[in-house]
Amino acid sequence: MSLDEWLGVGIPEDVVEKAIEWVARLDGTELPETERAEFFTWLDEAPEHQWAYEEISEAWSKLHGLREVADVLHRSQVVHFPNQTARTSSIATPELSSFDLYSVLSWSALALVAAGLFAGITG
Amino acid sequence: MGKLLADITLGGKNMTTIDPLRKLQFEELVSRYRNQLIGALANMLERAELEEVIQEASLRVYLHLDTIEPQALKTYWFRTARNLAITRKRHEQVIKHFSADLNETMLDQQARTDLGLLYEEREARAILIDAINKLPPVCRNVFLFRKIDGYSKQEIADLLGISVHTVDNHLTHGMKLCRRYVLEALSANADHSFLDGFEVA
Repeated sequence: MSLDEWLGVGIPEDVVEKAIEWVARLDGTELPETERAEFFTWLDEAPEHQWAYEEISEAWSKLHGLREVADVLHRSQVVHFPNQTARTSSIATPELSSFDLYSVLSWSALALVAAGLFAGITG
Repeated sequence: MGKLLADITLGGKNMTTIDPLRKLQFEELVSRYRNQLIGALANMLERAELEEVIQEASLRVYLHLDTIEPQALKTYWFRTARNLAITRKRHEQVIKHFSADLNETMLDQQARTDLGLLYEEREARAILIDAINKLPPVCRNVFLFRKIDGYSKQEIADLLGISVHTVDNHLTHGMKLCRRYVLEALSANADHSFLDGFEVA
């Protein structure tokens, strides 16, 4: 693993950053025809574009090798998963039953009455 | 190119067997893109070395003219030149590093190279892990979902309630940050890298 050969060393920074954007965009994605044409035009513009794309793409591909050390890669605990149930259907979605709904409405009505009484007393 | 394109026998290969049309195509390619290639490598090598690298790359392509697809010639030539330039820079650094640390008579060239590669491999992995662990939380998770867990972009988007476009942005941002971190880590220890002498952005 020679990391420094995959980093676009000696290539202008803006070119490498553009190559990174293309690698991310192309990763597992079928591009629309116009965007594909745009990519190939950019690629063909200069040797540095070609090198940067090849090297970043190679680095991106080799990151798969880190799977064997997945246990030392930290998973963030702060990310919410609002649509997790869309993927893990075995986990039941908490839903309000008719009984729960009745309870919520009852408690809401009670709270309104109490608030009205309180307003009456203080007024 | 006159010397290069002369009908000579190199590496046991008789150059006269190559299709004259292919030779002509390559000659035109070289004359059209040579200056562009020189400009692209100027940041890595001194002019004299640069000329040598382009000459060697041209020769290598020329030797394989009969097996390279015409449309791939330019790519192959550019890549060969870049690899040769990288090899030169790397070789300079290996020699510099090991000649300072080890008695030249104790290890032969191959052993020195193997030792260097072993060290680099361990070091590279540790740097990469560090780089990923330092990514911002959401960006890191998107990165790991894609590269370690192998989820598709659409699956990641569904999982996190974001668009595929945002997934792309996280991956782009993650790669840029990782690259910058690795460059800084390697250049801090530039004895082991050909980054010595390059400015890290």
